[in-house]
Amino acid sequence: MGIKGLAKLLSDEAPDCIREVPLSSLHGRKIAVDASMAIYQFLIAVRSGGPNAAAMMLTNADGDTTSHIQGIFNRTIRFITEGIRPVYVFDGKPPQFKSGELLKRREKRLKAEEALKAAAESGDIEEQDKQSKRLVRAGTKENEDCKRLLSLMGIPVINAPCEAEAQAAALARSGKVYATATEDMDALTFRTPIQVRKMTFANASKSDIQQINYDKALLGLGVSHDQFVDLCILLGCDYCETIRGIGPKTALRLIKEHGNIETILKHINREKYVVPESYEPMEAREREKAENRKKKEEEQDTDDEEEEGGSRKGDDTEEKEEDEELIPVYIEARRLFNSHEVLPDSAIDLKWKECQPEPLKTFLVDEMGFNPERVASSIEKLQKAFKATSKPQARMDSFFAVKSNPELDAKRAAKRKAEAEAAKSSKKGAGKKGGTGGGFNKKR
Amino acid sequence: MFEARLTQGKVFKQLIEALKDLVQEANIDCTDDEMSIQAMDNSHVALVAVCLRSGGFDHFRCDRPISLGFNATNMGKILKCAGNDDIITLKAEDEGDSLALVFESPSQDRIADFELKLMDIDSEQLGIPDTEYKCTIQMPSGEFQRIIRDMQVLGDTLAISCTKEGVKFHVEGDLGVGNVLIRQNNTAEKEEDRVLIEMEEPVELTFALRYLNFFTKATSLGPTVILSMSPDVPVVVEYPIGETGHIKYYLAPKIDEDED
Repeated sequence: MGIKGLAKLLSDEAPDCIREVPLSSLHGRKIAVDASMAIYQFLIAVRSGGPNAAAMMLTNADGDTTSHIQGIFNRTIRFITEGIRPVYVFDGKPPQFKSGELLKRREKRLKAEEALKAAAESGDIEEQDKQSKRLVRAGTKENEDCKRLLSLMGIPVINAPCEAEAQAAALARSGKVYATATEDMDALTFRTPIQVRKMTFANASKSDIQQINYDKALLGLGVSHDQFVDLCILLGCDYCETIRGIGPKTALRLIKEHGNIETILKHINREKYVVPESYEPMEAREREKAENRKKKEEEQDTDDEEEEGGSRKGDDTEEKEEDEELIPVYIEARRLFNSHEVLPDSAIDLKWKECQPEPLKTFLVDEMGFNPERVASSIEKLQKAFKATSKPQARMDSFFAVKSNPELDAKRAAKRKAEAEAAKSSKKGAGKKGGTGGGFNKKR
Repeated sequence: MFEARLTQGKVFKQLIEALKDLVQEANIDCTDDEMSIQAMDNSHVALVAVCLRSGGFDHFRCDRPISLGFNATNMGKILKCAGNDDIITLKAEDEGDSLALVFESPSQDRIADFELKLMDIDSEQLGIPDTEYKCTIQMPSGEFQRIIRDMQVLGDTLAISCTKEGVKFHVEGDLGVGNVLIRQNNTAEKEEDRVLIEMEEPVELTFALRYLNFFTKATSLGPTVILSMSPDVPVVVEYPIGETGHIKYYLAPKIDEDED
């Protein structure tokens, strides 16, 4: 799900690291795409049905969803046409540590399911639509479909042992690819040198994408990598809870002031900020033990019933088993960000091959029920684009180094910030209309 | 304060024409001894570098270095209003947000002035080192333009190879194959008609014709063009502008995947 509020914090505090560039500026680059994120986006966005009916997912004759196939197919062709070489990275098993977050998501699903039922009964189409989007899930079948499609198209696919963002970031770090393409901001926490966002191309004519530079982000925030990771944990990541009451601005200030979460915990005002127990499991257990002991004493005084005494005995043994050292969650999260399980470089071979038109046609037309003419023309487009880029075009910046111009950079950053503020205030004046339009970023 | 007066206004007009198809926006950087432009196309495959030395102007004043960001299409539109014989004067204030262009007819009986709004351009400047190239080819710019035009009919990728025999341009496409061989010719009567080839070792490079075609828009700026090539680095296509400066185009070659 990414890091809460990091995109906004970066655009406020380190505007220099974010650049809006045309898609064509990625010409000749290799990009690692977070496949799970992309599939998810398509499952939500690619739907049929007008405003009067509840939008339905695209399906084939058997009723299997094909939205994601449609989306991945077209987007990949677009990539190749632009001279970009994508490699899709799929999520492996979720880190054990994420189970808390996953549990929360499951609860949300259940809630959405109920809401959907209620909406269907009352006939509220808009609500129905909204809730059914919340129910979308990219399962194993969807992933397998896409892998098959991509391999038929000649696009390399990587199965990450763990999280896809971590694997993609590792690829970018080792120079195998140029950037990580995902909406999830935690790609930056995994130290991808460059992250690319907004690769949605909803509008073909205006295809600006957002490029975030990791080094410039650190420079702009004025923190080291370790501090950045701690900052992300405080903002809210997938792996653990946050300290209630600390927002993005405060988090950045505290990190700059104290350096790391341990020191922050020592110094912050406990009245104002609620530190979750999982941050201090040892202390929490001590407290619990003390309370239990107290309770026990009280109970012994009042001489309890037999049954309860029995169950208490059970508690006691558990407690003893747990007596090993407990690690605070933020340290675990830190470890996940810094040494995530990824495939070694040597195990990765990125090869872009020509697509296999016949099996591809069989798959898309016969199995997925796509329109044969459209598929044929798309395949032709893909073949042509592949041929045109078979001798990849080198880029200017691989020969000549970029001249740094700090004075100009600073000037621009200041200007952009001023502009952003002006835009903000004018938006407020307009009564915040349509400020939260349907963007992908907000969906998850 | 920046002010520059160019009797041959045509040169500036043609310069903008020569880059407006390749780049949308660029900065004119002025210092006290030259006016220069460096810009890349959107996909960062080609780069154009213009230099006009202050000596080439009738009057040149630049109190402190200044960067004037402009939209090439809009600049072109304004320069359309200048006659070919007009004297062009450029003026800009240090902290101003517009560039004044004054066009005077040769007989001084018509004076037009325009203002072009400037913009902040977020572009990366590349440091280009002076390099010795393995092959340098000087040839008539019109001849080069013709070759590019002819080759484009057949395909979109051009191989340029320089050997002892001469320079060979080779294209392959769906409808067939095309070759043009240009031999050394240092006896032509006019100096600009000569073809001079200096070669240390043979070089062969492959390029996208689309970009080379953009480069030939500079043909009107001078009678000769100089191509400089070394293995695996960008080609330089240089059009000298009289004694006063040059426009140089750099184009990254296409590479074989295996070497990658």
